[in-house]
Amino acid sequence: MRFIVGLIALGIFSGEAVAQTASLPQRHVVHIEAFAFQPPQIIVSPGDTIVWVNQDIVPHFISIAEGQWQSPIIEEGQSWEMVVDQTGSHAYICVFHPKMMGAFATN
Amino acid sequence: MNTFTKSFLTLTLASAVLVGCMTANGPATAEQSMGQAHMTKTRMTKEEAAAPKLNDLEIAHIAYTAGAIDIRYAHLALALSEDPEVLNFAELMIRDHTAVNNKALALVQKLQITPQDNAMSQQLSQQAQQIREELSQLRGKELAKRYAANELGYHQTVNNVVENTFIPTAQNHELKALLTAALQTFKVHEGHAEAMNKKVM
Ligand SMILES: [Cu+2]
Repeated sequence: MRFIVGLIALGIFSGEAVAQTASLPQRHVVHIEAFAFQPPQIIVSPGDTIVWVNQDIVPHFISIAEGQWQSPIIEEGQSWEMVVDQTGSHAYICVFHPKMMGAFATN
Repeated sequence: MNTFTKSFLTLTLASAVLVGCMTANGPATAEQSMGQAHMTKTRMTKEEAAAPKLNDLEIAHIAYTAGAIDIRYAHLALALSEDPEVLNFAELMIRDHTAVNNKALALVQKLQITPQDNAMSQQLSQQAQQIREELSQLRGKELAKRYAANELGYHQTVNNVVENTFIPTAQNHELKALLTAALQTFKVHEGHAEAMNKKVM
């Protein structure tokens, strides 16, 4: 992926190839920091991956759309990623610290 | 005596113990550390300025002890309570305080230091033992209320000391950083404790 992006940047791919690669799945990083999701809301495309990175010193545990998807316990310094396979907008919380809220929506 | 009065007295007592320990450690040595002590001194009253400064080894010991005490309260609550709010909170305390204390142990090992037992750690432990004995006599709603009130008071008291004494006093920057991250965690717990108190009423 990074390699292809690099090639695009170098202008090695033709315009046609760029059009094809432009729809490649993207990775969106959500930082878990100071008991908050950062950014709290993101727009994604179906097929994209969201990566949650726990930068706090305590474990967190994400529950999306009231438990429709759940992370394992994410320890300090660990991350969890999920491929977005449904459209629509979805709110999520940390089960351990339910005041932590975030959301993602598909474009 | 109703629960509220009791918990208020406990909170007052806890504050008195913490403040008392701050002032009962020996002569002040304001000259020992230039920067941090000078900055905090301007905000202190005359009486407080005479208080001895805790060293990093004592601060580390007290902070670790405070976390361990809350973990023990939580284990007691898990064993004796059936209230879902209490069980949920107790599990959070065990999980988070264990994580913070493990960080503290890792830092202690990295710095190759030995935390120093002190009057404040000892008084915290003694008081906690009394509260555990009190909690262990209670069941049902009374236990839930007492546990919730104690957790709120305990976090308020500890957070006050960590924020206003430990963090400004700590010299080692890694200890200071860990205390800052810990305080953030404990403040979240304080918020949870407030919510728990409303639910177990
Ligand atoms: Cu969390």
